[in-house]
Amino acid sequence: MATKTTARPTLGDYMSLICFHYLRQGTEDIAGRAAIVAAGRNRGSDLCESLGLNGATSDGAVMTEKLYDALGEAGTRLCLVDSVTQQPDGSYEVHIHEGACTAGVQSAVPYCAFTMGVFVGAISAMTNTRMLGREQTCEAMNGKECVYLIEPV
Amino acid sequence: MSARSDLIDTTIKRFISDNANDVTGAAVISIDGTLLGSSMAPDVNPERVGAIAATMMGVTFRVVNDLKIGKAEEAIIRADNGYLLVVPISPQIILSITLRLNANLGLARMEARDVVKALASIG
Repeated sequence: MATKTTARPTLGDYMSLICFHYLRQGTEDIAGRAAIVAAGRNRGSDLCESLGLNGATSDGAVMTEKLYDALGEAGTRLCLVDSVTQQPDGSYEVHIHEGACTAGVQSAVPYCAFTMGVFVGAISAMTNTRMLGREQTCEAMNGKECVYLIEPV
Repeated sequence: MSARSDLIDTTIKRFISDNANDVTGAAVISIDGTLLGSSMAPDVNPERVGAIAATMMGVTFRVVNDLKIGKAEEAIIRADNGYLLVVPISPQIILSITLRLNANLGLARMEARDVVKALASIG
């Protein structure tokens, strides 16, 4: 695993989505979405720093490969990254599925506050550009995937 | 920077300059904590302040809603060396203002309402 630690010799690095959802939903209920998105942004930014990717690329294909490895089955298992595509206006369209935020969740509104925040933080770090994220399609709303539009502020 | 971002920065800087006796800094922030424009003291991390101010507004909305006391109009923190004032611009955007301790709070809040209108027109 990409983030193997020795902090828990018996249980290892992973916990259940059930606990993750209680933490995420409980925090959002009290403090709102900003705290969750900010946590995601920090994670994405720190991830890129740890991988030496700060300011390293604006190429969507490279981002897809790096983030698939870091966040997918062989990484921290936040989600499966299908594609990161740069748009002509400098924004990025991100397609993922099996996101941790939406697993087993039904929602009337987009629900990927943490997962989307990770991509905002990561793409901001890789491009050295402050980015703002919007979720366009969400698995929690019965979508087949989650799609984020991440655009320069 | 985009034209919108430039307009936000210009509006904030003019607001601070016009109210220099009271106001020490300001930031425009999306409700999910992304900084859209700011002018703050150099030793302040604006990204972090943005996330905190948005969370402060989120908590304010929830408190007001749970206590059933109407619609949140502003949140104020008084510290021993100044104030933090957070005001909604729209359902998606907020304004955070830092004030000197000896600021004329009533006047600053009126000026804040005016700059909120100007920022709201930027979209």
